[in-house]
Amino acid sequence: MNNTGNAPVQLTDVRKVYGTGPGAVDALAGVTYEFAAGTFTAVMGPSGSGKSTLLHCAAGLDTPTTGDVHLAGRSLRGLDETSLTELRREHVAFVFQSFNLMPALTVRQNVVLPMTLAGKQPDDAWVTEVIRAVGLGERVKHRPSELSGGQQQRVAIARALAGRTAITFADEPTGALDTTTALEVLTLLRDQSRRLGQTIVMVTHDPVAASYADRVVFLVDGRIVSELRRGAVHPTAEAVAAELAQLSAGRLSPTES
Amino acid sequence: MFRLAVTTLRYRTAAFLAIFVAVLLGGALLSAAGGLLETGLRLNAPPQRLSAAPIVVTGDPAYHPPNGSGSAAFPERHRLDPALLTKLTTTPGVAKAISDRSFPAVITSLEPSGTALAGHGWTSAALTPYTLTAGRAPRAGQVVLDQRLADGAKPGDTVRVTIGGEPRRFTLAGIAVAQQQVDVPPVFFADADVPDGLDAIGVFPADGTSVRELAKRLDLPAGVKAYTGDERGVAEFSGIATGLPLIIMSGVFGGMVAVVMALVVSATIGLSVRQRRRELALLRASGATPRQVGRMVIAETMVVGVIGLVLGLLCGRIAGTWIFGRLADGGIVPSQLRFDQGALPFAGAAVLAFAVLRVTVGFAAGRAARIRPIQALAEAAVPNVALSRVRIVIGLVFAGATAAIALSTPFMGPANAAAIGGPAGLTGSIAVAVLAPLVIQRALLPRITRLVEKRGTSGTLAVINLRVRAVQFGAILVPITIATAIAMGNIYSQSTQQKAAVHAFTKNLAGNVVITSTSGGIPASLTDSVRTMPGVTAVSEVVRSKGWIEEPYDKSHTSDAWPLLGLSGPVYTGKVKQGSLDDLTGDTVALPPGTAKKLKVGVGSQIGLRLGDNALVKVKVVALTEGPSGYESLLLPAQLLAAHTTSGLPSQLLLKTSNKVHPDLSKWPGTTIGERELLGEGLDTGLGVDAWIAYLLAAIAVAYTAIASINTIAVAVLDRRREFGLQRLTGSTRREVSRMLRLEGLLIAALGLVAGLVTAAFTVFPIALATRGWPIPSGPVWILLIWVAVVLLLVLPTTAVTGRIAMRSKPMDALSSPVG
Repeated sequence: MNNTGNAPVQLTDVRKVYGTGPGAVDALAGVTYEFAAGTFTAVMGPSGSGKSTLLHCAAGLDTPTTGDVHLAGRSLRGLDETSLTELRREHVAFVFQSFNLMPALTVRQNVVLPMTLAGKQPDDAWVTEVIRAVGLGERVKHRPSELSGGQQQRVAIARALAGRTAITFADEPTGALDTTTALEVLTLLRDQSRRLGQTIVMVTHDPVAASYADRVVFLVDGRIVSELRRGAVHPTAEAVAAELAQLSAGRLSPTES
Repeated sequence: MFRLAVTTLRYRTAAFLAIFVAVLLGGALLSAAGGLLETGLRLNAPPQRLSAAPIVVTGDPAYHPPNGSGSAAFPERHRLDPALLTKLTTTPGVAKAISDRSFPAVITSLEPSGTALAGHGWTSAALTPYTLTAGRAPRAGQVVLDQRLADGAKPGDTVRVTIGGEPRRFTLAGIAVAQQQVDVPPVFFADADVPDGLDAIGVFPADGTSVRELAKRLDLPAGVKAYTGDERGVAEFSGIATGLPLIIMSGVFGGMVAVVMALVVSATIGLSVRQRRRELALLRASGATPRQVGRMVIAETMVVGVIGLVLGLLCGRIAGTWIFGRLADGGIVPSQLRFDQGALPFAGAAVLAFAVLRVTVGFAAGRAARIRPIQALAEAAVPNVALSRVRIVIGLVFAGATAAIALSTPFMGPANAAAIGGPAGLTGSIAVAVLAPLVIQRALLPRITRLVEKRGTSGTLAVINLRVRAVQFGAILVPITIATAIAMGNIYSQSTQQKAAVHAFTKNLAGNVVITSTSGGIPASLTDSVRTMPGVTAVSEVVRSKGWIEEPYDKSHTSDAWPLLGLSGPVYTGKVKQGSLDDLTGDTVALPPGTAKKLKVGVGSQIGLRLGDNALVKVKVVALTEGPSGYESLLLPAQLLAAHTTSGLPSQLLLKTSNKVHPDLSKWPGTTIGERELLGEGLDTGLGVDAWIAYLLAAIAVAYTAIASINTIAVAVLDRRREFGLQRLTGSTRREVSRMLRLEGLLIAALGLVAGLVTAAFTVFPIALATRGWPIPSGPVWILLIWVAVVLLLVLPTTAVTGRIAMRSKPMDALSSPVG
């Protein structure tokens, strides 16, 4: 492979087809992209554009129908569930829309869960610092049901940071939060990850959320159709929204091939 | 990982409670089954009336076929050669030897009346020992009574005792008291009044002679054995010949308990894994390998299971004693048999239950391990009906096996029908369990939809729910189906066989009046008196026993003996193919033609019969008579057969009368007169053990359905809190949702019952065809009705209560609840 550069996440002509025969749907119709080290990339697109599938394939949660995915320099091709899990455990963290905390575990237990599962001794000082950094220092012994939505998402972010993994995948991390809380959470995610030099891949449909990223990738019908890159400044929410509106209109237009 | 598993336990009480109860019951019942096995293997019946004699010599109560395997109980007590007493008395090391003879003696002048085999000679009082508390030893014409029988009578009073059916008067010589517990209070006679023959000899070793060594050294004829210790009860109580019924029962029962436990546990884990799909997927997304998730499910289940198992083993003694008590009450085992449940049954039950649990949990956890992390991200979708091809193939194989068994059973004889046809219920249940979700969705629902759609909104909703949740509803349906199949299949095939056996026995006997006796048998004086009664056209004594054809050796009946029927009059209506039943007197026999052909004998041949008391008699074949197919008996003269029974007398008298007769029976206490239905009474169809197995299985089936369906319904309904909330938000009232739930419950109960009955039909109908020659089973209908009621009572209230709990919160809160 000639493209095993230092990009922690690489997709090469990734296709994902659901179903068979005439009813088959191309969720991803050949995506090639490199998520460069230390970048914060937002993947945007209208509903059904394949953005969640892209995230799942990139993170090794789902297997592409054809094409190659490299995660942290390793090809995912032919890896079984256990090897995939171990690879993810080593290099990847997740933040999901529905918080996805274990209801039976306390905040601290949830934060160290990936390390517990990997059989690693968590660095207690670091875990404490991370939990404090997300503003939950007072609530380490609480269970998720005793926390608000924003607080639960902070726990998820703390979990993503605590493992010092190279890559964080976030799937609509602000989808279930009100605007103020969403902004707090996004700031936290960006600033803390940047401190650790993590690569972030975030799927969202919210232009405001996307404006926190260094780059925004637009996906329509399973293809990457355009990209906004940070020049001197971040892509603004307005620019993102305009691009999105144009893409949606283009998709509806009959003249589009 | 283990700590994680334990932490989650507290949050899953409902599902784990079901596993806990299932394993607790399983542990208790398995150790009970182990106790039955140990009891059957040891056959310890501590002697009572013979307990003073360290060694008891008596005939081996078990028949060992000459060149067959296994053994069978002799139906009658066999007598010892009187010369043996002299021989034992003179054996070196023997201090004394005392003979014992038991015979039917019923006190008819005093209440309460004694039991049939209460008569003994006074010399045998030393075997207990009995000591006189009043009066003295009996001389001819006198009796000594156990204090419990005396009932205020004093020495010198007159006592009426019926011996061998004949009432006689005796003078009460004395009253005696046992130094031991003796369940059957005896009546002691002077030795001159005791009928000939010896049942047992009590041997007392001389000082300094070891009991065990002497017992080994005694020179005994073939078929006679010396018993010591707790085995001596063999000589005293009947029915302790072989532990085979208990061993078989413990095997079937234990195996069934293990299977049922495995089914409950795997169904419960399956359901709880499905319910926790998201949580487990999240664990996978958080970095747990499939193995770790599997191990967690195994760990949490094993923690609960082991606690349940330990408590179950602690209850094992209670369960075992209770079941044994029921068996003794039901006459399946002699009540004097001691229930032995040592350490081994518990150890065995522990190992077996643990192994079953671990294997089941291992398989069930595999499903948890296959959950993919992506399922944590996707919205909780309705689980799809996706049966793997392997599963469908397995299901079809079992369905095919069920059909094959059902089709071949009618061609088996009645004796083998149950053994061949019985497993159809099991294979059918497995097929149902494997294929249920597919069948529900593809075949049943489209039809039901059309029916219920007419019932308005809640009806349609109920059907839609059934369709999309086929897997979940399969989980509720399957236990109901399996329990119905097992319970109804067993009970009705059993009652059908019982009826067929009785019918086959009575069919070939003509006669409209039957006289029976509870005082030991029908005396000759009664028979003679009835014979001369006006209106009586024919009289026959009826004697029933069992025996074997040994010369020439008949391989067809070894451990299951030939039914022997003793007759003394023209009442047999079966077709006589050769010879004549008029010649059935003296030492003669009538054989079924098929048997005669197989043994290459005919009318006029001499054959050797081993009768129920171990006597080998040479009889001449005088006729070839056909009997009902599969239920043929050997016919013998009543006098010949009666002489070889324990009581020595016919048990019934069968009369053909031209008009209604009212014979005066007051001269013969204990006799009753009735219609021909009495013929079937007391008929040993050999189905007692099977019947009890059927009832025990039905009981387990009830317990299983209760645990499994309550649990699955509760879990499934509570799992739908969010859905109910949504329905209520979109305009359904609480009452409408309840109505929908009730309809769903009814549908499931009805589907389960129908599927179970169809499965049971694969056992019951072929067995009916094999035994009755007619595919309609027989048995009381109320059992079926009660079963339907039990199932409805399990399903409907559980649905209603959990539905109410699920809708307790406000619809909005239910929507945001983490469950579902």
